[in-house]
Amino acid sequence: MNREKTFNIMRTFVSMIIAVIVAFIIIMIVSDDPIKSIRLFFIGHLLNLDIWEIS
Amino acid sequence: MGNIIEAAIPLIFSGLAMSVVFQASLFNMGAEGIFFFSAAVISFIAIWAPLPHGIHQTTIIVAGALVGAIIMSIIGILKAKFGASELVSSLMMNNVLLGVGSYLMTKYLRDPMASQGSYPYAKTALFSSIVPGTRIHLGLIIALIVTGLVYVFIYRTKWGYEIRMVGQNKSFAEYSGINVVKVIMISHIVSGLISGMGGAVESIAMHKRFEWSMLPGFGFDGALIAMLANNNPLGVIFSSLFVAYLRTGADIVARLSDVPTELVTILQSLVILLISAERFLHSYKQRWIERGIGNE
Amino acid sequence: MSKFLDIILSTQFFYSIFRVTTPILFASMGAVVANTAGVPNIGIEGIMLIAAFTGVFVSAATQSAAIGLLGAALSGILLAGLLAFFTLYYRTNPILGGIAINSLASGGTIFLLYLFTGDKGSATSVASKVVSEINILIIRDIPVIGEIISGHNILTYLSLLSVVFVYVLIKKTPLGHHLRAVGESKNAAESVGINVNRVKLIALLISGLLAGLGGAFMSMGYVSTFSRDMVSGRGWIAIAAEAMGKTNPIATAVTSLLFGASDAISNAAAAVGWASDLVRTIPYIATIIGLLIFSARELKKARL
Repeated sequence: MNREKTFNIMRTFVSMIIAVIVAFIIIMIVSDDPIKSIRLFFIGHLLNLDIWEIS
Repeated sequence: MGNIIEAAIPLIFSGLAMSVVFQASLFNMGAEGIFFFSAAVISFIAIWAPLPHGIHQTTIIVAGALVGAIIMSIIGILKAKFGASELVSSLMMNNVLLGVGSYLMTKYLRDPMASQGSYPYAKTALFSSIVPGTRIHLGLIIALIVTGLVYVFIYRTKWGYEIRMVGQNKSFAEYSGINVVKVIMISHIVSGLISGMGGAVESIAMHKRFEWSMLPGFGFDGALIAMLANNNPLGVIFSSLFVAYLRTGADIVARLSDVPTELVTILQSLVILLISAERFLHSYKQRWIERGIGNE
Repeated sequence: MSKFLDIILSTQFFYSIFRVTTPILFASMGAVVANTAGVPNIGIEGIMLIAAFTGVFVSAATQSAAIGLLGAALSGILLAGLLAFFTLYYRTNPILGGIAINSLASGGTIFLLYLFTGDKGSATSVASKVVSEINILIIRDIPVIGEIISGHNILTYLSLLSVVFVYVLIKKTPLGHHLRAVGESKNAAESVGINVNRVKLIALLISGLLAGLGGAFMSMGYVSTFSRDMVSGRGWIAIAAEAMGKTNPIATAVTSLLFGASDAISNAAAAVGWASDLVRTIPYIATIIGLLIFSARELKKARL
């Protein structure tokens, strides 16, 4: 039973990774500047961008 | 980073709400409409009730939770007593709530001087940030507490046990004497309390007035989050962070570049398809398990 | 109030009932076919939305309504195929699969809409084609009835024909018998040599086709463009109609008409000037009430 649980967790991870890969692909196809879009999407929050109004 | 956490807070509420119903194998997607509607209803209290700080917020949160519970119980009765599909009735209900909430907005709450939105919430009603420099608010603490409560409820109480039993095998549960009607009602009401609370908290924490003109979309995210977390409340926290990560990422890209935010919705749909596919990677699963047995 | 009654009691109103019921009718027939084979197609709402989108853009690209319609129908079949793939092969829970398809549809259409037009709300900038209306020569001159029955969009007549089509399919054709066999007892059907998965696949594809036609009507007949979330729950109403009609095509068609009537009433009320937000909820409330009445009777029968 524990093996099955581990497998299910792993399968969830695989699904998430597939989603991320698909995100990659879609951004590549769609964006005019894919490198920038990909950077923004995956690590954008770490950069201190001042685009949210804190009112 | 703070953006992810503040975005995750309503997602945690939604994820918890969905995980409770999913544990009972019920597919009630009403969290969507309840977020919206409870926010609309508590706006009355937030704008006009002259209550002191602290009491004002508590009243709002309790009111929101009650609104959610009442609405969910309607859907629950439809399912429990009449066997009506909770999926269809909850989705219909979402549309109804959108309509009634919008009506309340245009008729009573609308601020003629604001470009969009209701009269502003009283200062005493708002949540302020608890971590300076971010917009992380008290809602986070509330969300974490609720997570703990849900965990205890689902895994350590009799009602929680009954919910899980019904979810796994309804006929067997009935056979063992569990009152399925009661279980359906309880899971719906608890879910409604949580999502109603979530809508209220999100409103007073992140908005200064009621300004949603469409359903905010937390319900569907909550379904995904619950699925990723396998309906475990603790897992909900992590999946909420993950989904919040995706959403803020998409938001940034949408603002500064040219990929629309709907990208995330597409990804989420894909993930749901994959993780609910029991036979996905089925052959690997067999070999994995067999290897484990061989090692013992 | 009297203005409202004026509207309701006119031939135009009854005409509008048929018009408004068209998408619901198509979709509910799709639901009937799928359910007969025991595979509920929960993705109907999403399929309709994608078909509506496809119809607009294909017809604009080819400047032909017919090809647009074909494209829409094809997209319905494709999407149903996707659902079938996951439900039948990967054993996804059909409800979750349907939910995933629906959100894929709503997100995907807006995504593509933005990509193609730079607009996230509607495709009014796109010169799409519309399926036209026809007048039935002799009937249209009959007073009262003529105005109600003649002059409808081709798709409206098609939707009524689809009821006949589905009825004949299920009751009279060998495929229909297979569908029913699989729906009633998978194991029994298998033991007689019926390929259960193939039958379910065909059922889903047909339901995708019908739902696609319903969606196409939304953007190519009801209105002439695509806008976000334009299906507005009609797919779900169709599913409820099918549940209430107990998978019987005729009964389902009648319930679809009733729901269509509630939609028409809501339009009339909005036209008279009553609060549009509240009035728009009428069809959904009607669906909930319908479900309630139906399920209550079902439960009573089960208890006896």
